[in-house]
Amino acid sequence: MAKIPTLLLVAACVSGCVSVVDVKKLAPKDKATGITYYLPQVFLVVSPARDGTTTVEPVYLPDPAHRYSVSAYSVLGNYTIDVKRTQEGFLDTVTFNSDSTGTAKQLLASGADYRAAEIESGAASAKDKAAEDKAAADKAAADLAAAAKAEADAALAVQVAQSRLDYLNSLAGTVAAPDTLRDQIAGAGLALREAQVRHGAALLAQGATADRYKSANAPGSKGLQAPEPVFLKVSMTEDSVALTRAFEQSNRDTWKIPVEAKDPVMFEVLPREVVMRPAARTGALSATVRSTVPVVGYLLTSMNQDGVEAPLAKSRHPVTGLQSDRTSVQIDLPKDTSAGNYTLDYTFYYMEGDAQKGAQVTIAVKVEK
Amino acid sequence: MSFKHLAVAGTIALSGCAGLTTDSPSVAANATNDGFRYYDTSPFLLITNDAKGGLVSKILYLPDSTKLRTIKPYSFAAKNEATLTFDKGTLVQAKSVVDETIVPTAIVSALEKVATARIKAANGGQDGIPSPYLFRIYGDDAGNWKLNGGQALDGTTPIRIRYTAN
Repeated sequence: MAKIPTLLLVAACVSGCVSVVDVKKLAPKDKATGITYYLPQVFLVVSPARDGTTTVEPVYLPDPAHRYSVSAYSVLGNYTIDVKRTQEGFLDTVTFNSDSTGTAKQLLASGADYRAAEIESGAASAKDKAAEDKAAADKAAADLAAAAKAEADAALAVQVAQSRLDYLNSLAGTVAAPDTLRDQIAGAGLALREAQVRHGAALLAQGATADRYKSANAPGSKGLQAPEPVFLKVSMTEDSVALTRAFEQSNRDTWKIPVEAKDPVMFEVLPREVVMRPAARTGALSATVRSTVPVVGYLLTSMNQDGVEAPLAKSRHPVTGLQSDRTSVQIDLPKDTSAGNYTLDYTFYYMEGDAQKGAQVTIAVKVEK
Repeated sequence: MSFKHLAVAGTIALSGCAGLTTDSPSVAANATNDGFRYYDTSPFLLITNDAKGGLVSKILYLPDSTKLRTIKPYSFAAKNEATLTFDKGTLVQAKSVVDETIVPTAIVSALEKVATARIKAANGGQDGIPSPYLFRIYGDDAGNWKLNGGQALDGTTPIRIRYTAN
């Protein structure tokens, strides 16, 4: 009977090689030695969307109650062990070769490779995020600057028009007044009105741009918060499973992509100085309103002659026609319209999305004798 | 020791032994086991809503924490080249094919119908999105397939998932 152990002992001595892998379970406070890895704890992450749908995905987090360390040793022989882990700290592959020339430094290399990959991944992610943040900030700054410049330009145009009108008015009753002063004053008044409209539109656009960025990035705004995903812990028994909430579902600040600013809706009266000379039978008998958006309808709401409301009798109505480009409206006064200063108040209708909007436009017309 | 005995010893030395050992340790035995731990997978039925009054289901094969396993390569006087591949705590090799055939397709379909009918009867009329349901699919000793599990709970109350910041 004593011969068999003797034979095994001899066999071991002849071969001279015993390779052993040792995996130890670590208590939460145990210091890690060798390569450590975790078994996963399963969660279901439920991500709600504002339309009431959810996305449910299982996620696997390292379970601190299942942490293990890997070590290996060889007696009188060489071995190679290559332990690769996933980013989560789970085992990926274990390659064990007890008869190669590798040494235990492979263990260190695996750990170093893993840490290097972690660092590179983190740095790349931070770089991408910084680039995105900078692009968004640059776009916001450019949009706000453009809106501010448009407002400033429009304000300057108002000042210029106002100065011109003031100057012409100051000439009235003086020897320096030209014969066409009244016409020039009427034209300057129209130009001032147009500049004021443009300035108002620029102000609105600037305010809208500022509000868009302000509201889109304001922290704590109720409308710009969203509930975070819910983590449900999967707890298993041999014949059942239970889901329990891992964290409370809190609200978090969110952000929405800014909507590109649209061109302001503008209605421009051409020519600026509408002076009609029926007797001359020239092309100046009509005026044109040009819009930056397609016009879907119009309505003459009132007409004044020399400051007095004129009855909208059919025979005295201006003839209004929408042109084929749908952005021009031709307005013609009857040829026998009596001389005077007329004011025509129109409402022009256009579509903004699915809603019909109306814009008030006043056209001043001087009909000469 | 005779020449015959030396010859036997030499034969053992040249052949040696190497391979993989596996085990299914209990919680207590896991503390002293020295193999690579992993979980076997088990099938689960996940049921979610589609926000249109319907339910959507799919089978998940999850690492089963009640099925702790170990595997260990060893080498005694021999070569041993072993590669173990894991995925999320499970041993992938020789497992994926087996897992796909654990639950026959027809049984999965039948179990889905049972589960969705049960959920439809219990659901409705509340604010918030109903939390998902997860059922373990398992077979009993008599060869019957069963579902066990349910909806996510806070205590005994089903969790509702907010989708607005109210």
